[in-house]
Amino acid sequence: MAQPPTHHRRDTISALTLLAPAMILFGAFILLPLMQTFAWSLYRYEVFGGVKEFVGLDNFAKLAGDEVFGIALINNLKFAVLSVVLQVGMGLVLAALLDRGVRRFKVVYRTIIFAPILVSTAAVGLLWSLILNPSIGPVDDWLGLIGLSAPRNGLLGEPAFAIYGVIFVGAWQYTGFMMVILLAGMQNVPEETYEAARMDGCKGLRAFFHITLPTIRNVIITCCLLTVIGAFKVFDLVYVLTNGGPGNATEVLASYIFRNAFEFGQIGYANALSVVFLAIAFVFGLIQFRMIRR
Amino acid sequence: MHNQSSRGPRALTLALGLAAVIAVPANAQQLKLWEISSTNEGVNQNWENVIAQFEAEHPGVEVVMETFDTEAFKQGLAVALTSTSGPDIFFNWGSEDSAVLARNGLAADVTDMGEGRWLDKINAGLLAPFSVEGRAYGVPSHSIAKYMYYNTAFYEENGLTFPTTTDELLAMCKTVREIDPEVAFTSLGNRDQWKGIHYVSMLTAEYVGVDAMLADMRLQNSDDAMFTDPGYTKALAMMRTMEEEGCFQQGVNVTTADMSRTIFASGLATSIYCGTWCPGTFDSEGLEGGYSMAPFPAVSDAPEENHGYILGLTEGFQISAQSQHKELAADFIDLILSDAVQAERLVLAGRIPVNGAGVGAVSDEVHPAIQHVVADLPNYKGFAPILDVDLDGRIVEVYKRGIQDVIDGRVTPEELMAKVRAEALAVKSER
Repeated sequence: MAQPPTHHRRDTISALTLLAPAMILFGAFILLPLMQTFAWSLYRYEVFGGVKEFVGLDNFAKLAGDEVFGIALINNLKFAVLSVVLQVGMGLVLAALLDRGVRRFKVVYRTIIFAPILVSTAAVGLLWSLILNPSIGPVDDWLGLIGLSAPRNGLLGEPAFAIYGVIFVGAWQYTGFMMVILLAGMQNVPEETYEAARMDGCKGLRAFFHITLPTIRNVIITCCLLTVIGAFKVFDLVYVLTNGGPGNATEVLASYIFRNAFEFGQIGYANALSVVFLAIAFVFGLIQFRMIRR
Repeated sequence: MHNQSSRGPRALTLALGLAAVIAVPANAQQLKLWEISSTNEGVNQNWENVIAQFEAEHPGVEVVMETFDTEAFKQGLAVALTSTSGPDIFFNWGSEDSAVLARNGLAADVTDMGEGRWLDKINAGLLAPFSVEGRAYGVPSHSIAKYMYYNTAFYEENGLTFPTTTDELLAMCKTVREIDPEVAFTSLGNRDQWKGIHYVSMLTAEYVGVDAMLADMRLQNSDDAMFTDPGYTKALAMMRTMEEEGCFQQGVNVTTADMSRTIFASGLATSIYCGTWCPGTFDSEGLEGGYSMAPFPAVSDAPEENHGYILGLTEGFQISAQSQHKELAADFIDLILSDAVQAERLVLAGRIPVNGAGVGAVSDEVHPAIQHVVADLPNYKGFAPILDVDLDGRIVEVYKRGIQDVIDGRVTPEELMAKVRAEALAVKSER
């Protein structure tokens, strides 16, 4: 039987009342800035002087010929791909070991591996910049023990390697976090499934590939999604470790946007960069969202 | 029905809240000050004293000081000045950094505020670095200059004399490595790029000449001539040569300025090119006076008439155009320029005063290194311009990042100068 209209209206009002705070906050802090970003990307707008002139798509055209933007974009892509491999890959291995391999001191291992995520990124960056410094850091000595030598300018000082150094430090910090998420997923796989598989002769690595991985597929995709988003958002680690250098070798989109807005005062161009940045992140999000729904 | 037991705490909270409101004086004003952070204890002690004195002299006024490292300060200042929560008073370099704020209406015109205040203490001519089109937009508080600091014991023990020319410098780089391969002639922390551009500024001033350099930096030269002097590439080439000759420690582009001071203080480098703010840091890192000072070596193949300058500038304070407390801010700046505070800043913070009236009374207490600077500065023809504070920010960005590439040999000096010139022309066309 249909509800009386007053009842229905009351439900609607209640629903809107409950939704209103979230909608207001979403509108004020996400939607409006987003619209403002789109609008300002079409202007030549500078902090110094506040020049505000409608330039259409000029900022986007300039972006196409911007060498540093290209470097930053490629660095973000490297960051995303390698972070997935290192953080999710290593996290998966460590989670599997802790789930079914290691028998004793599991909590101790888990805590140690998880610990770096509890340290602020600024502190992690500072710590690793000292460790990797070729003059005062111990890396040269460590490599010397196994008969190797570090590049003269250190891992972070060689443009060809610097971005990999930053990615490595990021992986050091976040692998434990991925491990914990994946471990939680693995611990939800029913024991009966493993027992049934064992009776069919499926155990060890085969069980891992044929039971564990397919069962936690969505958890892995979520981890990949988090890692890719994190890789595109990365800023603090780059800022503290290399400040985008040497030259522009470790520039990433977020640091380049920041620099354009706050160092060069080119607000319009920084907004255009942000729009492109958003579009890329949106595409990645969409791909992974579809993978989860499949 | 209300719970009786909750009324007590609620009433108490309300009473405390009301008391707090009543306790704040009706004329309470907050003066926000932005300054560069310092690890020098004397600098921080001096600020505590100045703020305490100002608050005592101005009841009901609270001075809130916020400090930032150099990069964060530069990045945040312009944006903060366009907002309503920016500083009332802020530190700045007497150069393009302060002029750009004046030209764009972000710094207050303080020309008429000086009467009865700082104009009684300093010569009006000292306002020039903070002036635009004859109007003052800031007040100088002290000068800084950069010297080569070297480890006295190392040079004495090895019977060496600190180099006075770049030819001697390059030879010394080899000598030092021969004595100890782990030790470099000098420590350079160019991760944040400003240390490298200071070297290049001094070398360029020697090769190009101060006046020609200033004309380029102010974008006053014709488009055909701007940044085309071969001295620019020679200065960059010298940086590359110094790297190739092993003059610097390893990894200059991943070493921060702080780390470079530690490298010098720990003996891993025999010298460092550092400002007059550095002795306090060396002392707190354990060197405690075990260093001597020398001017930057004269460039051997530079024109004779270009010698005799020292890298330096005047620093001071500006008032935000948006400040609601401009008169109060002017009083605060005036206090900084008072005889006693200038003398205390010299003693505690090593700041070379613009008002020297109170210095005589404290001359015995001044750090020996700063005494040396005060005696030495009159020997120079003037300050050599500093590229990263005297040049437009966009051009600086291309220049200083490119210097990292030149040091590492990825970009030639000619390639970098072509980029700098292109950016300078772009900036000029947009003005």
